[in-house]
Amino acid sequence: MVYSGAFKLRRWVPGNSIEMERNPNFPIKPEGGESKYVQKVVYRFIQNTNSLLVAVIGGSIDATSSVSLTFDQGRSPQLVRRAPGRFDIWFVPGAIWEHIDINKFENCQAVRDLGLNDKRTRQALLHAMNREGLVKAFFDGLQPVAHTWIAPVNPLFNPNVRKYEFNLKKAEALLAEMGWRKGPDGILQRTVGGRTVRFEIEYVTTAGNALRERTQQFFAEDLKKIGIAVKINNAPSAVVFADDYIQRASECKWTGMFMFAWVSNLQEDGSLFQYKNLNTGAIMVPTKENNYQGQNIGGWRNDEFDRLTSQAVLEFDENRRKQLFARAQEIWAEELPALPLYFRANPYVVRKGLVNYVASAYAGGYGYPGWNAWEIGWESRGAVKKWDQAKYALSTR
Amino acid sequence: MFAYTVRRLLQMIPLLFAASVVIYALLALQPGDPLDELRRQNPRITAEQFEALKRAYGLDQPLHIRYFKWLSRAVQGDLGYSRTYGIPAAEYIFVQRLPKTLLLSGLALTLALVVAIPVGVFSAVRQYSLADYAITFLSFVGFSMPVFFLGILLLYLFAIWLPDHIPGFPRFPTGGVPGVLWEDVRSGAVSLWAFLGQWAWHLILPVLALSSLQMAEWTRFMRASLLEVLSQDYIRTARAKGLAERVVLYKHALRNALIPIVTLVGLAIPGVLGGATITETIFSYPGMGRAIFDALVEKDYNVAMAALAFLALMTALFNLLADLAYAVVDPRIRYS
Amino acid sequence: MATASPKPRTFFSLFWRRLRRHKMAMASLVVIVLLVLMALFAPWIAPYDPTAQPTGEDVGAYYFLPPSPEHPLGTDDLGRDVLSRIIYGSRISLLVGFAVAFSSVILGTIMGTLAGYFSGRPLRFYLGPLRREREGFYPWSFALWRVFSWFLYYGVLYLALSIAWALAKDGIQAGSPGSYLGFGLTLALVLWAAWFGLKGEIRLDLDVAISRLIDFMLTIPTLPLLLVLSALLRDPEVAVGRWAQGVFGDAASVFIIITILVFFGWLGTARLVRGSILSLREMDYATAAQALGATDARIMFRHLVPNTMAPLIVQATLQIGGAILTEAALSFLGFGIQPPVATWGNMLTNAQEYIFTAPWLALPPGFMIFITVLAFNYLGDGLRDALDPRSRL
Repeated sequence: MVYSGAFKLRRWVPGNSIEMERNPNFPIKPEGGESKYVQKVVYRFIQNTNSLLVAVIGGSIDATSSVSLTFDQGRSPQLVRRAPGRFDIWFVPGAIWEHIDINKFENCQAVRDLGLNDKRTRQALLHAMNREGLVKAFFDGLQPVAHTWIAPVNPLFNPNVRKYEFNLKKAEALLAEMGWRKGPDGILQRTVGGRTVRFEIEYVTTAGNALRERTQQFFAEDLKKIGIAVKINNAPSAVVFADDYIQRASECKWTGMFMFAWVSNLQEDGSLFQYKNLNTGAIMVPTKENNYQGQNIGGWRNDEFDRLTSQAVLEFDENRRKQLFARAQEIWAEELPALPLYFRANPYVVRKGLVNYVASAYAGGYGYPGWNAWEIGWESRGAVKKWDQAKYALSTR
Repeated sequence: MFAYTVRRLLQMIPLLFAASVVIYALLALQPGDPLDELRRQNPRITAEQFEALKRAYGLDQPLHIRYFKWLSRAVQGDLGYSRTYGIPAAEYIFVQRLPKTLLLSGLALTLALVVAIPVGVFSAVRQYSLADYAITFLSFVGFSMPVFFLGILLLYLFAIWLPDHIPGFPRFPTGGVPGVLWEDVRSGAVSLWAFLGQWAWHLILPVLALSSLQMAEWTRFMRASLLEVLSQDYIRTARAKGLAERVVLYKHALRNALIPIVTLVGLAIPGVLGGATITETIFSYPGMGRAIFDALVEKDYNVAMAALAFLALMTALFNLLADLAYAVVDPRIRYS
Repeated sequence: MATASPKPRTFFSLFWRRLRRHKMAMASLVVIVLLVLMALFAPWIAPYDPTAQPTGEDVGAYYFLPPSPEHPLGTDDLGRDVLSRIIYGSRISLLVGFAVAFSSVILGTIMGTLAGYFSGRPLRFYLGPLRREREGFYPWSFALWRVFSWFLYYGVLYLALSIAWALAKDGIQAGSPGSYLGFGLTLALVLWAAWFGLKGEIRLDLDVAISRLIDFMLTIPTLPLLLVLSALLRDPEVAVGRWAQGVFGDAASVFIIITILVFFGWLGTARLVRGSILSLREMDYATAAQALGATDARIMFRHLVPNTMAPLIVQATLQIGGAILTEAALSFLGFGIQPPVATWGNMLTNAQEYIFTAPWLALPPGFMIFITVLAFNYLGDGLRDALDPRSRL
């Protein structure tokens, strides 16, 4: 493949930085001539986000990439206090979907005991989790609650699906319907096949991800209120994301809830929750039979969902495509194969006067936020502002 | 002594063999393999394609075959390619990372030693004086302060707070290595002094952060060890002979008190070569610690294997050197 | 005959009297007792439930509160009371710290002393059943060991043979010459070893064995090892995790953490002690004790080990702090204490995330570790001075 970019490599200091300079042969010229725009870009590699924050505050960095500072760092007083007149802090709604997948394989005893393969249990769990409270307390509401697996910024998103507000009464009613009663220790219990089982559910996430561990504890406390005991069982991502673990729900390696994120795509195809892709015939639920392939790790099966999504990706008519996905989302939200939490908003910082360095949910993806590198420039040197970040992002002010 | 050294060197062969087997096995047993991600991101991959990939990576063979293949190539100096960087693992480890780590960790170790020995001696000689209490206090502060905290604190203080509050205070770099390369010096674009100056400027904070823990530890060991020696009979004898206190201290006591320090330094040097993952991460310093950590996370096993096997060799070597150093420091120790 | 004789003093009363004169040691002792009491009576002392989060509409308003009268040390990232978490956190942190430091110092001292003392004096590890005993007296424990070692020796031979057979079986049935040759060679080797085992003896320099073991363990990279272990422990097919859970119940994770830390913790101590013993065993008093017919065990543990105390105490105190901090790193790798249980280590690690949002979160756990280590250091100093007859007190 031959590429032509606005910048070309000048030098690389291994482990430290990459320097790019403007490519004079690049065909697209910015308004007013390229001499008024940025001539040199230096990428610095900074692994620790706290160090990055110091570098930003200290003024040695003009702009951060789209996945860099954490949400809390983006709002930290040291940064916000120094921001006025020096730099802008933007929160770009992203397409990274935080959710809790649930093991629905009936061959696992824990799944049968807790009734995780029954949608009522999953609905009760979601009703019992105060997601509204979480996004308010953790993110000032800047990262809204998710209701399906499709990002609100995606044209395929259907806002009119069943929503599960925080409602302990509803959760308790659903659980009572399933035969759960408060036990002597305050934990729900019921009789399955002559045995009394307690509602103790395993909750796995990536250890060391502070935000996820914090979220996990927040929800664990919520679940405790309706009598669900949570057994936290975290490990580093190298362990839990290994094929041996995440793809083996069918072998009951994880038996309850598994919280992580998927990066969703603009060209959504629904493969995350298909049992079978009707176009290719591939089975998307990882089991021994298909050599543990596919991303439908919890083992959900809904034939209509498969039909709708398989058909939608072949559909050329945009409205028809939207309709098919809208219906698929309705089914999804009713059945809740996974518990949707929120879509991440990525904070990034850019120095005042640097124009056209704008990010949006699907632009870039890795590192540099946008697609218009040739247009970035300093207003003071005559660069013309064409894109306004305020249209695509939220600001703390 | 010579026979002893030769024997020890011979013992190192089976030791290193065993160590490399264990390291290789541990890497091979890591949860997840390099192909996991490929498979998950492309659910349409067929079983045949997957097998072909496995063959391409040599993962279709049993562990012991893979190990011996690696070993036979490694003894010929071929450590394979880095999966992440597409350069030979040896070049990545020994050319790009090791020299930088030697610089950072070596300076930190030297600083720690240069400060810890005199301060420890001083603290022991003035036992239970105010200065001794102050040193003890400080060394335990140094010990209890996690390096991630100290590192960020130093960065914030010297790169932001002090320059903001004291006019004229130099603004320290916020980590990283200078953007000048050695080629720039050779081509004359940058003078040697400017080059060295830039490096020194970038190294001050990380060296301080990295040396604090070791400095604190060794000060304690030096103090304790010297106190122990100072209460021995032969020191009393030496004093009774009327020798000057200085002679007693430096000629009689210090040499004996250094034995534990020799052990600790011997144990610490492989750690120096292994780099300091946390310090390197905070100061964005491309050293060995970070290289090994990244290689493990990215499952770049050629790099991890090269680095870890090298560290095993160094550990064995420096333990031998420490043992030999005992005999130098303390002539009573005889090796046969 | 009523002569005024001084009151007979036991070793301990003397020791106690000397220790009491050491002011810092006594102050430290008080601090340590207080810390232990705090850990024991945490539910009564702690003002709040350490895992309780605020309830109500705007819970975010209770996050990251700076110190105030209601929350003397503020609240953390989930609005939990930091003081209560510090108090509860002392339970696991102190347990891990003490257990690890104590066990690794004991294990390290024993191994280091054996290595240093017997360096260059190979011990007889194996004595064939048909070999005549030249030296006269051997304690009965050695006779036991001797019989045991025969079983061990021939057991290993049997194992080697059966493995060789398992490997070569298919080849031999298929008539492959390589398999015949390989199995034949192994058989010959085993037969020779079996014959040697009847009359031979094997001497082993303990120093070589222990020191190479230490070298070997030092070369094992910890991070890959821990990742492998972490995956193993959560694998329901591998019984380790379940076994630990069954035997130790909820304490399993703490036990696993302590085991891992001791596994790597004794190496430094052992090398330290070995170095000192190599030098001390050449001292006149050791030779004198030997000449007087003292047993090796007595010389080692009565005469030599007490003289290595100084670095040992430092090692032990530093190890307490080190273990408290490393516990957090291990839990992070998925071994041990899972949230929301508080330990000083995980509080400190968590504070790192919010170093700019709420810098005060790092101070309380850091200070507790500091106090614990400092107190143990002074107590250690005092103990050494009190035990050492040469020191003036």
